[in-house]
Amino acid sequence: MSARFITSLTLGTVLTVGALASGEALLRRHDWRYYRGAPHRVMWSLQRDREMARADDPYQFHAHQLWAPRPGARLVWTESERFNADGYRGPLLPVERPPRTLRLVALGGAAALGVGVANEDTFAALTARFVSARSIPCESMNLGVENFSLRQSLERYRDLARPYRPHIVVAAVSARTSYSPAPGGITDDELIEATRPLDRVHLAHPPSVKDGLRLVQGFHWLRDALGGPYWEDRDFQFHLRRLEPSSRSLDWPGIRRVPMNDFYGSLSLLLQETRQDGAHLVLLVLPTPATERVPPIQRAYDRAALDFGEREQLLVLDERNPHILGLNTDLVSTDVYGADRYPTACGHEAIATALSEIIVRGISAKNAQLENRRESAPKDR
Amino acid sequence: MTSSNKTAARSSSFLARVMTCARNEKLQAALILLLQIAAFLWIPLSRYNEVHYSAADLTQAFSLTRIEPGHLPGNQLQSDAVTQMQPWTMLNKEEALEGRLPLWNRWNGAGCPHLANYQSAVFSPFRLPYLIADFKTGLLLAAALKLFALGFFTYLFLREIHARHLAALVGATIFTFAGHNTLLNYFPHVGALVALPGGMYFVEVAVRRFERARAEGRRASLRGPLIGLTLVFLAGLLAGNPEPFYFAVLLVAPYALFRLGAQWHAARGDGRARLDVLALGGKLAFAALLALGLAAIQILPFFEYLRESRVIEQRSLRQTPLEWVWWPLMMFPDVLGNPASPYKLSDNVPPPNYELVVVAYTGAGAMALAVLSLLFARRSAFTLFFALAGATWVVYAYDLFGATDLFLKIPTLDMAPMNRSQGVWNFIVACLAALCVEFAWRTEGRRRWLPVVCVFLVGLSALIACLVGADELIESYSLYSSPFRGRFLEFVPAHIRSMSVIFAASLGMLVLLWLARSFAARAVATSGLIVCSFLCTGWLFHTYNPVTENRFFFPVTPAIQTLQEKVGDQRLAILGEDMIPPSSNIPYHLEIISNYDAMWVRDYDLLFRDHFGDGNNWRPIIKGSKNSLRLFGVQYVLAKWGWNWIDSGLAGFAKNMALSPQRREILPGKDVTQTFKSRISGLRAVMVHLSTFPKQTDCDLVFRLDDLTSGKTIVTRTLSGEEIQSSVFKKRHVTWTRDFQLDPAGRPVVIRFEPQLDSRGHDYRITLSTPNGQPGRTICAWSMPVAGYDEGEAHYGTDKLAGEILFDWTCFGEPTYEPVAEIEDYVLYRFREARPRYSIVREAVVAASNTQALDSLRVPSFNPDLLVILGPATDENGGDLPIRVHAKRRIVKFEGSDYCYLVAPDGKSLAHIDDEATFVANGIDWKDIEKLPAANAAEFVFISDADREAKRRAGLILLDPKAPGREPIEVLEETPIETRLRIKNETRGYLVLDRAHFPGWRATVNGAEAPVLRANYAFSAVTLPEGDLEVRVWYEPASLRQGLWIGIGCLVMGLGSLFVGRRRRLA
Repeated sequence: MSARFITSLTLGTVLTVGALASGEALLRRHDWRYYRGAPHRVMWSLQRDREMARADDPYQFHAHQLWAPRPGARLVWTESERFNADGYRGPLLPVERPPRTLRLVALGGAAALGVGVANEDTFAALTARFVSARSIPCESMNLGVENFSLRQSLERYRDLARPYRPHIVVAAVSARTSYSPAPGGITDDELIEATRPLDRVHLAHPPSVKDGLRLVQGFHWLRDALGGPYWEDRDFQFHLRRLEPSSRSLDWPGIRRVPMNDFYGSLSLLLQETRQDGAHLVLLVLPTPATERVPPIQRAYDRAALDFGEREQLLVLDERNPHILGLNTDLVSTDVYGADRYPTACGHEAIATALSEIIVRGISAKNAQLENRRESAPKDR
Repeated sequence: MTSSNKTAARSSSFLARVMTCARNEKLQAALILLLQIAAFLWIPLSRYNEVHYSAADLTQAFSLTRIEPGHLPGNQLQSDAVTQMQPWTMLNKEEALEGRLPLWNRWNGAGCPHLANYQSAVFSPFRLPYLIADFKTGLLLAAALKLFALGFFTYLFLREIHARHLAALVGATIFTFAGHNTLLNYFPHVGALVALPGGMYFVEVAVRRFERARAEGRRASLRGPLIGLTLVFLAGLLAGNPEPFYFAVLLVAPYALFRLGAQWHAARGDGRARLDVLALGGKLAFAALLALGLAAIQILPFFEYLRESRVIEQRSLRQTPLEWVWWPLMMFPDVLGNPASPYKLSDNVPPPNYELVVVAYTGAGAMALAVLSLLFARRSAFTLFFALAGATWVVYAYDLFGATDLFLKIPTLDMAPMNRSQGVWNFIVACLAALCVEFAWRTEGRRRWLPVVCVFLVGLSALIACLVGADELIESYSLYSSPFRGRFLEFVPAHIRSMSVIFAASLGMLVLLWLARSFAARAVATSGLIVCSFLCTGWLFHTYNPVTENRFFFPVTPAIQTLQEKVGDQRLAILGEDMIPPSSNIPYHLEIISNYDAMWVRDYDLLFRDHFGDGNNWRPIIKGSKNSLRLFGVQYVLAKWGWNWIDSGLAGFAKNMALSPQRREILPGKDVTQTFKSRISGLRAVMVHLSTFPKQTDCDLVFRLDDLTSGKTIVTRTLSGEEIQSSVFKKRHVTWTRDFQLDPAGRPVVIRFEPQLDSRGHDYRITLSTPNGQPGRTICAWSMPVAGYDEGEAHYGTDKLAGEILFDWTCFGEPTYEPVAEIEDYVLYRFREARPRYSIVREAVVAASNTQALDSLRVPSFNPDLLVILGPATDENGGDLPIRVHAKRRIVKFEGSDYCYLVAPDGKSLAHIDDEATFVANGIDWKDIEKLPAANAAEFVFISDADREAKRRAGLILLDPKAPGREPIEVLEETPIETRLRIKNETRGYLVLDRAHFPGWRATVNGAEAPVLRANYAFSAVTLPEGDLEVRVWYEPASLRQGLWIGIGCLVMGLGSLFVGRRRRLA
């Protein structure tokens, strides 16, 4: 082998490796990824899924709940507040219930989580404080998660709330997240069922380095772009995008995150399981801000929740409650709902007031019931 | 020699000749090009008996020519070929067979210049096939001829600049089937572009011969290339579109300068040689100018038409540059669909339309080769030249750095649209690609691993970049509404795959060419390049120009047949957009007042749009009045659904797109009623706009009309849903832009009854009810939120509606229109008040300006039978016009009165001015009216209206309704360009022709030349003395004569110069 040949070979190798490395670095810098069929496996959205894959995102993928708060992650609207070690907001509670202490759990989306407000200003924390002040000691767990649907809340209850054996479960029913278009064309229920085995798969087969290499993904992309599967995914995405604008109509042909059947099903299961666990379920149906037009589909979902509550004789907090109504009428809308349409501290206080009243009345009624029973019990002679 | 020996000798010599021919590279090139063209035209060739090579199935979009409901046209972007080029070609042939030059098109727009309309391409060599063969064959031959000429000249040019045979074939293939030449194949633009490769070739041949002759110390024989240059430029000039020719010259001229410059440089220090170079330049310029002179017979009439047309004012001086955003289409031209394919978003995607964006396409492989050729720019002056030319074009076409402003300083460049320059770009890319292939050959097989790796990497990067770009383009249109979305997966991935494979194969061939050592391998690689170039251009676009089944090729449907029988050669007005688009009426010999030749006689067009609305380029009639019809010489009116909305206010008001009609379902107990006051006598029909739901026919409508004034019921009629539906849902129902956009679709339903002679001033009520309609399965009326007539009320059940229902009564009064035939969804009316083609008018008034002329023609009481508006006077025609000089007149109007009076010369008598037409006839300006108090009336004496003589003596010109010029006019001869009439004229007057006024029309009266005057803004008139007259009017434009003489002169000059040259050589 001549020296010239060796030199050429070395130069060629160095150039090739350099080019490949540069390509890899460039793709990583732009956070470019490609997985075949990715549009069908969207959890939150393409953008948020990409962000959640990073370690610094407040949320992470979850096999059952699809996504969940990352323990220890900072809540971005606060200065220093973080999710606790179990991945929910507020102080970490002991699993064992303290004696003669009411335990309350709040489930739901951003409204339950308290986006935009400090933990102590959320309705969960406020309710606990108000009840403690007026009646018996009360503690709360804030299990709210942004963009959670009712179906996800059910899973969160099973995963996180159940072991803590709450007395009261407040489910903030968000129609908007439930009726919104399924980002991957798959309902939340199907997605949860599909990802459920992944926790085992994840442990058994961690992703390989090769799969993570952007150049390899690039090669797959090129192959798929020339072969066709890439365009099937893209067509699917475009189809979802075209359907999206009309998603607020009742007869929308697309797939919702929680179709009406699943919505009823989730409510039923939540009720059944909370009852089996000995808890009381309270439904919180927040009204739409007065400045917004209520789409027909929202009315349908809200109506479904109310009908369910009536049928099952549940406690339902909705706009018929004077405090909740006040969210819409007595108070200026901007006092109660922020620009992001989530309740402000004022709004949370209104909700907490309503909740605490119901709870305190309930406790009083129960105490009275117990008292009556005691009095009517035959006395020992 | 024995007979067998002789036979053997003959056959071996024949074989030898065949082999010699086969080795002839030019013959090979010609055969290969012909094979490619045959592949490009495969579909029309293989289905020759069944189809025409034409997009004429566009006729199926119109009711009158529709024979297959629901037929989707092959390519809607090719409409101009169907509505212009092909009918004009038919006209050319027809006139030629009659022994006439097709100077004038009598079938459109009251007549318009035909030869002067450049695109009619009367003298185009590419129209010769139509003359020698039938039309179907002519279509194919013309297409093939154009492509072959382009390709073969390109090949010859490349060979001249020392590209070898196969490399030249690569360039020829790329250019022949580039976007401009395939997508515009139906159009004359492609033929005009032959001047580019042809001009380049002959310039190069001339320069080479000059070079060789100088080296050998002899005189160069330049006769051949100079004649060739002249002929090829002449062909380009006559081909039918000046724009591509113009851009072709913009490349050929600098190329000639570039080559002459090289010769000049080579001849430094030799003054004599430099003079010879200048002489060569002069000869080339002379040859080019000779072509211009020979084409003067086409050019001068064209300039004349240009001067008289709308083009100059319509064409914006600021060109619209091409957009970079479409760059991925340079590799994947069909990612957003193709108008001729099953997948398309819209004909206007990419905007402005597919054609304009993709015309610059040459194939990604060709682009890659062209870019790679730049590596050799230093070695080859030709590469440098084309590279600079390409860069200049890019800067110009894409307006880089705002360079358009600089380019616009070139005279006349502002008149030529940028998107007609893309053919030049195609040629540049083709030449650079060929040169790249040539350089790859010259590497002689030395290993070039590094360049090969670079080619691979650059190619891969280009592919990835184009894929990403295409993806972004597709995404940007992902929300675009289109009924063809479902075909995306069927079409786009396959397109991307095939284009990518072809691109990769092209690069692979190039690499092989670079690396291979043997001739055979290189030949295979280059052949592969030729095949790839063809696949990604010619084969890709071979379906773009669709074929049409024979039956769709300008079909003579029963509707057309009836029109031909009833209308004959009379003038027809088709109301609305569902018409016979101009000029596709030419094959049917139906004369319509609309014209679309992209030039438009300015005066006629302005008058047309003023009277009939400004719809679109096809000039549909979207409004109008009886007077308009008379002015334009219309004899027949074709109204869809029988609703003749001429003079109806509804046509304008209710189609205000800002107002949405509301559906009113007619149900038992929920009738729709509408009252109105009739302002006409003889009411005989009413129109109501009704809809039914699709496929629903089992519901009846009861229409009742009551005269509320007399208390009578005029008519009660029951109509079935099926009757109302008519063709709306049975055939492919096309809703036009100016139709009511209703859901469900509906139509105007005309209900006729006995004429109500005393209907003027009576109140009527329309009641629409149904005995069996159900919600969602009934007949619907439509109401507008505002009132149109505002003299009635509409009710829906017991609820009063804010506006009115969509109905019309205004156009069914006096029997002005006589129904002649029912033609499917149309009713043909004969217009009883039509003016004859030639009429005599006694009174004339000269308009002071165009505005005054138009204003006068708008006056409702203007009667073209009684008065003709001449002029306005200009320096040229002022002497011919009967300009009256009025003594100072006094026009008065008394307070509280609507009447105006002319004060007689005695200062006391007042002659009442009957109407606006009399105002116009007397040349009175509204500003001249003097307002007087009512008390002053007592000072005057009023001349009775019955005493017309007294009024005339007072100085008032009266339009005598009894005496329109109805003298018999005998037509002795009538052709499109000549008319001879015999007239017995009682008094002096004007012969008014229904023909559009245009320079070049001449007249004689009894042999004496008489000026042809501009009449009624856009028409023509000739002054007639009294007596027995023979009038001849004919079209002989001076521009044609001048062009002919110039052409003859140039021919003589050309022949003379040949003769002189020959004598010099012999000497």
